[in-house]
Amino acid sequence: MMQFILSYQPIDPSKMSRLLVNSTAGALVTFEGWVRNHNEGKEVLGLEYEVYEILAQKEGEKILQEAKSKFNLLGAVACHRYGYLDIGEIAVWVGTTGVHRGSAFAGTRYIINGIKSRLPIWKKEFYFGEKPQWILCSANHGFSNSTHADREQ
Amino acid sequence: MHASATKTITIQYVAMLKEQANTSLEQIETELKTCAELYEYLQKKYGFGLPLSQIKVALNHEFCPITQVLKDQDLVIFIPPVCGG
Repeated sequence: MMQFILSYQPIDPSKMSRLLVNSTAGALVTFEGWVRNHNEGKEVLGLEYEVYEILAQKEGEKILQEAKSKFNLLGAVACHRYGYLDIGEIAVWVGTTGVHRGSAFAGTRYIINGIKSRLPIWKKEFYFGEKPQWILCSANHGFSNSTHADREQ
Repeated sequence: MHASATKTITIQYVAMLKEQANTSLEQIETELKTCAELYEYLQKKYGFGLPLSQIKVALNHEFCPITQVLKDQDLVIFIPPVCGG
């Protein structure tokens, strides 16, 4: 199973996990990215994600394929939301399965780092009493492998 | 320059570029040669804050180098620094 999904609707983690059910797997490692209520000292009300759908879909599938071959995964599923999200909502969900946990941990980390650094998705933050602002993740735009711990923010 | 060097290019804007240009799509006739030249032209026209060095580009829905030569009927999407997750 390999599936990359862009979703306007809220993500249901149990539905995502079920896509990966496989009796040969010994491990499932999942990651959820949540919308938090603060960023760089500002109180955040919510986020809006804009996605360049055609390219994001292709790039997302490419990231999953890379992870699957690199870490010998049995399955890989990832879902990214777009549109307006409230605090606490799941912005991104990633799950991978492997025969053992090592490959699944590595695969999930590779995918979330790839999603953050390569997918053409942009984030606008909404604040109390201030104009909304597009967030510039200027560390991005290498479009190279971004697996270093110092970039895992 | 010969008339044949004029190309029809469609530009789709995303995120902050869409807000700064105040449009999501436009078509222009141009003799500019590369994506980089086109971005610099649009940057002046709309006052885009992002420098060319932070911009990636997709031509006809495929990533390509910013120095890529434009062809007639190309669809260009300039990609500001991405920020998913």
